[in-house]
Amino acid sequence: MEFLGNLALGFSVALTPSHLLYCFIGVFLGTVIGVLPGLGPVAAIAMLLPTTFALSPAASLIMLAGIYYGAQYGGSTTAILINLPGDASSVVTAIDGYRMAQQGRAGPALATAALSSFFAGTVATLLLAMFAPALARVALQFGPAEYFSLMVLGLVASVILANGSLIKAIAMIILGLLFGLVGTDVTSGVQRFAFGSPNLADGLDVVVVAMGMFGLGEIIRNLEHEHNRQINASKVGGLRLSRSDARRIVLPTLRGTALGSALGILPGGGALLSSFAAYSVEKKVSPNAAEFGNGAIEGVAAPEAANNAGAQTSFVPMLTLGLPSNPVMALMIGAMVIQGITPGPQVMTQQPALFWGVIASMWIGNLFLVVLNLPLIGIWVRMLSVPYYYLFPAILIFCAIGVYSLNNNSSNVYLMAAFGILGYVLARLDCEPAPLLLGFVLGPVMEEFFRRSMTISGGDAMIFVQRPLSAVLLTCSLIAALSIAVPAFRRTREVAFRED
Amino acid sequence: MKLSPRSPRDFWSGLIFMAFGLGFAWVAHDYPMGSTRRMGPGMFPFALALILAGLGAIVLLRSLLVVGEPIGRLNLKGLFLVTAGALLFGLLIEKAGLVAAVAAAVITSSIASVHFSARRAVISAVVLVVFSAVVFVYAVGLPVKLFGPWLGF
Repeated sequence: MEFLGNLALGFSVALTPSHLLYCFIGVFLGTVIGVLPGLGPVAAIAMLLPTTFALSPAASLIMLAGIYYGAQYGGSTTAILINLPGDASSVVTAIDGYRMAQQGRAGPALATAALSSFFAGTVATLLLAMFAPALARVALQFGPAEYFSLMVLGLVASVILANGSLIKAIAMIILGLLFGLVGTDVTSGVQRFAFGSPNLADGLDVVVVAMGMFGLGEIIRNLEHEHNRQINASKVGGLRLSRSDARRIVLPTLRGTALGSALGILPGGGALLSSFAAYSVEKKVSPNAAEFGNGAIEGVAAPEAANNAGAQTSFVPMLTLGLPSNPVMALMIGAMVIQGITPGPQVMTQQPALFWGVIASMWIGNLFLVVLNLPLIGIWVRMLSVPYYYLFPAILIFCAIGVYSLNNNSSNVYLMAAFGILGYVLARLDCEPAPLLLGFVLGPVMEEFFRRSMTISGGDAMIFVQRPLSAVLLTCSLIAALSIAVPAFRRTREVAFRED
Repeated sequence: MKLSPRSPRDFWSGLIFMAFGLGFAWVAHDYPMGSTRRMGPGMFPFALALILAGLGAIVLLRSLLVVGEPIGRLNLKGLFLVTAGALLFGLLIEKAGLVAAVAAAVITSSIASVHFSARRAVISAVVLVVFSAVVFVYAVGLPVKLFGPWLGF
């Protein structure tokens, strides 16, 4: 029952007034940004990351985590109300959620999303508390070769769901790795790809890359099809669930939670994979399957539970192994590094208060979401009607100021603009930006592990397959990469993305 | 004989990947490589860059054989104006101050919208200038001047 003691420690940290405040601020800001059209969790975290630098490591992680699932919930809200998911993981919610809204049942849909997310969040927090220490203990046995192979697996797995060709996604990862290597090599002290610029010698900042590709790049994309949307605001009505509704959502919520928790932990897993999987499973299993696509409340409950569970359990590989499953986790790792914390299994043993405090605050954040959002729906609805032509200059300004504030240097702003161009052009050419960000965050770390493995083996690259665990991980990567080629899997991927 | 790519998107992606790969490789090959036992700063980036160039070549070749969707119209107006807005901000923030930088960035980028009107752009600019000044300078304490040397301060 060691996990109870850990949770107790966590809550004692999370319930301090300042941490409660930052959790609340994070959840609130996250929801606000998630609700605004054209902004998702990645952009939200990227924009607010600089504001956390002044905070303590625990406070900043608590706030960022709050922003993450706040933005996720905000994205679900827009998915239901205006069929515009704030994030890919809310795409599935929109299918039945928006239909419900059109039928005048937006209230129950929103209530379902909130409640099933809260349930899933609670369960996920418990699972995290129970299994994270075990996972960290396993990870402490990892040597550099295992870490390297784990990261390869994580990177490959994360692009399985990437829309488009696997080769291009891997190329984006490698491009990201290379950008990550810009700066001063820690081991040798040599400045790489810095071209004499002192700014580049410090390396590219994750905020610069993220805001450029996900902030500016997204703005330019959104401007291609700018239209202001109709909201089914008049029909939101009461956020109440009828008895029969409540009965119907119990099992889907449970199933979604289980699926999301399992899929979130896998490298490459997270909210997106979980929500799609949960919807498909629910559709097959539900007695009301015929209603799916026409406003079945189960079609909201299952993916919402799954995406929240997946989002929270995707913190596990990040916190225990330093492995980002998705761009949001990549940014979290970036935030931790900036705060001077190297993510990995040692975080749990060296900084238990931080680790467990963050986990406990995730549950508190979920609580805030339910308490906060149900009454404030009216405000969110009003905010949805902010026209994009007012919104996007604001996004630009926040990104520009945020990036400038990193070290009061305009060169970061120019770099952000360059990444904006790159991000937009590559996205139009069907090259996903997310793998690049993941590679970027892992670049220096992977090099370090590779180097050390080679030193240990005396220059023999076979070490990666000679050590059993490393070999297993690399084999899984290969299987994952090849699975794209299997026709059945390919069809599932395509179906999943046709809903986009 | 002109060989036009069957998949323009893959064609240009492949080219871009090759360009980055070869570019990074070109710069990296000057760095000390070290040995496989003690890798120098050049080895990992050089290897990665070559792999990138190789993948780019594969994508490029594939684009000549496999049909893909056309690229479609790029939003060049948006690209140019949003980028220009960001660049103007960077240029003006230290020399002309926050007010000028925000106003210039907002107005320039607003033109990219199909719903642009001068009135809306000015409203945006005023709101954002005030907001930025209050939140970032007064509340957060960002060390920038509201009005900079170019404006005579």
